[in-house]
Formats: sequence, C-alpha cells, structure tokens
Amino acid sequence: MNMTMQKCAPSGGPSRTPMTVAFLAALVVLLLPAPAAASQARDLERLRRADAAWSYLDSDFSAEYHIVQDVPGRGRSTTVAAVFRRDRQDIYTIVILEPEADRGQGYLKQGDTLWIYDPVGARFNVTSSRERFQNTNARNSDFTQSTLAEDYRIVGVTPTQLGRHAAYLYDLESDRDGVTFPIMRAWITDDGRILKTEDFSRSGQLMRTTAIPDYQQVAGRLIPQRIFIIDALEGAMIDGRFVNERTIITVTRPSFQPVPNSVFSKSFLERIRR
Amino acid sequence: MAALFQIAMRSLRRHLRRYLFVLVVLALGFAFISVMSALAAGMARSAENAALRHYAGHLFVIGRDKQAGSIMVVDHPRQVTDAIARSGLPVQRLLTRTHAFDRSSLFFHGASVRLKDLFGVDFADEAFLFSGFDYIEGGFDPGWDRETVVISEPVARRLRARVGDQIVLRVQTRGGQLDTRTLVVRAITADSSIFGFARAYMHRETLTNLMELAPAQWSVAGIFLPSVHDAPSWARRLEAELAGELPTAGPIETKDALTSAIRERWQGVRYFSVSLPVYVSEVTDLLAAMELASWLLLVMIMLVVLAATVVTYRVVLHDRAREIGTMLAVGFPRPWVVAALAAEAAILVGIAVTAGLLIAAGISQAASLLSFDWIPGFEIFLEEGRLRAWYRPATVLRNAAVVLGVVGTVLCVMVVSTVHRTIPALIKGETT
Repeated sequence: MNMTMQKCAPSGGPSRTPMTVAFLAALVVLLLPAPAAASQARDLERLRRADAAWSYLDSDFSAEYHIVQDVPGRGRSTTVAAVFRRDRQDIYTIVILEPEADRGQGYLKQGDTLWIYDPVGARFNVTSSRERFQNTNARNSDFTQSTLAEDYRIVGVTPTQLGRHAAYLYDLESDRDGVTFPIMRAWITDDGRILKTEDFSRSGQLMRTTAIPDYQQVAGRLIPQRIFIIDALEGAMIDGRFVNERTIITVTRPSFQPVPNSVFSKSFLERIRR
Repeated sequence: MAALFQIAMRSLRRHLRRYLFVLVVLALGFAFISVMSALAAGMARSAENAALRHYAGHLFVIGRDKQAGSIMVVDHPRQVTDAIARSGLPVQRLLTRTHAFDRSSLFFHGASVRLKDLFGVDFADEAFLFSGFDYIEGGFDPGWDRETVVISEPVARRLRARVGDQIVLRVQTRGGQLDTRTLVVRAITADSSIFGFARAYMHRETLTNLMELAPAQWSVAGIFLPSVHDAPSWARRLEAELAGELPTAGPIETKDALTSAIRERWQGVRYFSVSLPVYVSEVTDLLAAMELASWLLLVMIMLVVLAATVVTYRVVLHDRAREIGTMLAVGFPRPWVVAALAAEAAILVGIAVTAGLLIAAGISQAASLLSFDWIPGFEIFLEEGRLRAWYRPATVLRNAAVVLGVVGTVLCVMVVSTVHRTIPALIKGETT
C-alpha cells in the first residue's frame, strides 16, 4: 500500500485508476455508517415510543390495578390497588383497597424515596423500589414511568415475530446504578408497544418474564390492559415439575384526569385509614 | 488449734440430730444459689459465644456507603488496618469479612429465603470459628471451594435443601443491580437462634466479586480482644484514631446511637467503630436483667436460709445452754468456749457448702439433659439445644464466701451472746 502510494504520487498519469478506486472505496467506507446510524436512531426512537406508552409526562394518571398472584401449591390471592401517578414529578401514590386485611396500606413515592404506610401501626417506613409489591412478582418500580431508552444501551435489534405480532427484539444492557436488571430483552412493535420483556441478572440468569398481550386506547393513548409476570426463580415443584410463581395485573378504570395535589402526600394515606 | 477442731468435730457428731436441719437448709440454699449463678453464667457465655461466632470479633470497623443503599463496604482497607495498628489495641486476631446484609436471597426449587446475614469469609482464616459450629449435615473443611455456601438449619428447612444441593444466590450489587450465582451447599449449621435464623456463609472473594466491590475491599474488620469487657473503651480509642484519617460516625455507645447514626445522611463511605456489646445490646440488656433478677433471688434465698438457720441454731444453743454453763463452771475460759462453738458453726457451714455444691452439680447435670430449644428465642442461651451451667471458680468462691461470711457471722454473734450470759442463767437453760 505504501509502495503504491510512493509510486503514484509523483507521476499522476498511469496511477489515476487505482487512486480513483481508492477514493471511491474511502467514500463508501465513509458513507456506510449512515444507514447504520439511521437504523440505530430508529431503534432508539422505537424504544423511546415504548417508554412513552408507559410514561405519562403530560398529565396525571390514575387507574385501578387488579393483581392476581398465583403461588403454586398455595393458590391465588387478589390485591386491588388504586394507583395515582404524576410522572412529570416522579411521584406516585398507591392505596390498597383489597384484600380487607391489607386495606388502607399505601405507598408514596417522591423522587428516590418510597414510603410504605402501615395503617395498623399508623407508621411510614422507607422501602425500596426494588422490593416486591405486596409480596407479588411485581416490583414497586413497575408502577412508575419507563426509562428504558435512558437506562439501557441497545446491544442489538432483530426483527422477529412474537405470536401474530411483528416485533423487534431488543437486547439491552445497563451499567447504570439503580437499574435492577442489568440485562434485558424486549419485544417491541414498531408503534412502540412492549409485548414482552425478559429480565436477567448481571451473570445472565433469567429473573423474570413479563408479557403484555393487551393494550387499551384511552384518550388517544395506548396503555397496557393486562400484564403477566412470571418469576423465573420463585415457584414450587409440583409432581416433579417446576411451576413458576406468576402474577397477572389487569388495569381498569384508567384516567388521565388531573389528580389533586393532596393525593400525593402522607396525610392522604393517613386520612384514607380514618 | 487441732484440739479445738477435734472437740468441735466430736461435739458436732454428738449433736448431729440437732444440727441436721441447719445443715439441710444451708446445703439446699447454697445449692440453689450455686445453680442459679452457674446457669446465668452459662447462658451468658452461650450468648457471648453465639455472638462471637456470628459477628467474628469483639470490636468492629464497618464502612457504609449511603448512596449505595447503606451497603457495607470499606473503601480504604489500608487506612483502617493502619489505624487499628496505631491505636495500640491488644489484637488477638483480625478477620475481614464481606457482608451482604439483607441484600441477598437464596432460591432452591422455587422456594426462597431472604437472608438477614450473608457473610463472605475466608474459611481457612476462620477455621477456629467454623470448627466450633454444630453441624447437622456436612462438616467443616478449611479448603471449601469458591462455590461453597454454608447455611443455617432454618434456611435449609425453608429451602428444603440438603448438603450437595445447588442453590441460586441472588445478590444486589453496590450499584443496585441484581446478580446471581449458583452455589453448592457444603454444610448446614444447627444454629436456630436469632443469629442463625436467616444466615449463610460463602467464600469472601466470590461475594466480593458478586457485590461488585474491588478485590481488596471488604465490609467489616472484626477484632478479637482478650476480653469483651474492654471492647467499648477500645472502640472509643479506635474511633478517635480513625477520625484522624477517614470520615467517621463518632463514638457509638448504644444500639440506639448506632441506629440513629445509620439513619443520618452523608456522602460516600462513613466508618463506624462498634463494640460487640453495642451490637448485641438487646442480649446484653436481657442478660443484665437476668443477672439482676438472679441477684435479687439470691438475696431472698439468703434471707430465708439465714432466718431458718438463726431459728434452728437458737434452739440448738438453748438445748446446749446447760452444757455451755457447765463448761464455764468447770473452768473453761469464755473465749475458748466461744472459739469451740464458733469452730462447730464454721465446720457446719463448710460441710453445708460442700454438700450444696455437690447437689448443685447434680441439678445442673439433670438440667443439661433437658431440651429447652422449644422456647422461642431461647436458643441463643443454649449450647446444642441444652442449658450449660458454668461453674466459674471465682463465682463459686464468692458465693461460698458470702454464705460463710453472712451465716457464719450471725452464728458467731449468737454464740458470743450466749456464752457471755451468767453461768447460773446458762445452767438454768436461759439463753435469751
């Protein structure tokens, strides 16, 4: 290569063809990343759309969540919770309506702090967003806005088919502090609906699978209607076969109407008890 | 002196029936006192041993990173060990452990246990502790590999895991992410006390790596001192030494102070110098309350024994008034008679104390055959589920000295008072 250059440079005549080839090759190399960059931008944009379907930054959000927890060998239990979110301020309030024994328990998230309120002792305790929600397979962090595009870097995107849906399989990784699952796979449709996710530990152990088969249209927005969560580690051996613990969340009565400021306060949870 | 002793012994044998009740009351009283003291000391020793095995030291330096959810991590291990060396502590052993605290869970066939304490240890360094555990399954091997996990019996029961099973450990890293590792159960410890309720041990390097700490970092330095009693004062000394180099939490004297110090907000890693009595203050408080209660009981028993002895001995002296009067009448000097009777009393109390000690040993032995591990929360005071009495020579001597001193003094006063009555009064049988 160096020899060719030394030969070509002084004369210019006979070596014009190789120079042109080299120039064109360089041009191709320079232009090649453009489609790749465009593709990456589209992948990122799709991920942002997926976040937007789970985040309500321009209005408050409230809904009733019916959470059915199925523990193999121990049967099912149902929890009904009223969820109030104000994602633009990163706050939420959750009040447990059922079962009767837990009625009045509440959660109040204000930024990085999450309080859990116990009406029996009339006490607030700090808990973590990584903790299980009411001993189900949902985590407290599942009730807040989605920040996949912010938290994860895209390692790969593969067009795929999930059931009858055309989707893109995202391989995501994160080194960010506070991101519970450092490895994630997400099946996302082109319009930004997350159909399924698999959460992995840092060592690549599958921790849980989440499927969102149904979305509902509310005020022109798509919001999840049913969410299935399957815990990969928790479960029981039934007849010699491992049966996973699972949780089904059904979102009913969704609303984007403004929620009074007072709802996002400790006194609200205390008043609910009375 | 020998003659006096012989006469006293002869007199005791002659009046044995009269003295029998005094002897029985004193022996049983002293046995009860001894059993109480030995059981209290044994329970305290069991609790201290359990705490020592659990925390691995009398004094600890712990680092806590508030931004990482108060995770225990010593970011500056060299400065900490240098401070320990400079402080002049009488270090008998220094152990370093990684501690995942409650940021870890174990899973096996769908069952899970959220651990309260997951310790990363150097099994070879801690052989002296691990060889002292009571193992239900498996046994200690200082060469345990990096996949080893040692779990307590309550954890094994909840997981339904046995030695050889592969279980999944889930740990939260310093950054708050989840990581997992498959480990092999190598041993199951019998500890079902509050310490062992949700506890597991694994190889330190494996846990350090899982928690995303640097290889040289650890969570806590445990220092073994000659005695736990000096630990609080050494903790103050060490705290002062650390404060010159690193951000510290200040002197911590009580569990409440520790709790509120942990609740504070700070940036980066803050260092805590904590003694074992602070860590186990609930147990220490309980033991102090037990000791106080046992002392009150001892005083009451002492009073009962004293009352019974005085009443009985008064009758004995009354019965022997003529004999005492006759001895004085035939020319025995009063001091000599007092000395003879006092020697009798001293021998009597001595025999009672010896008999009481033998009875106490029998009672302790019988108590150690019974299982008390069905009492919730009582396991911490037991060794292998049994009450173990501890007859400390100093305590036995103290109890004997108290009984000899109190009862002996009162009896001597009664003897002196009787002997100093007039001879005609004594011959008439008057002692009061």
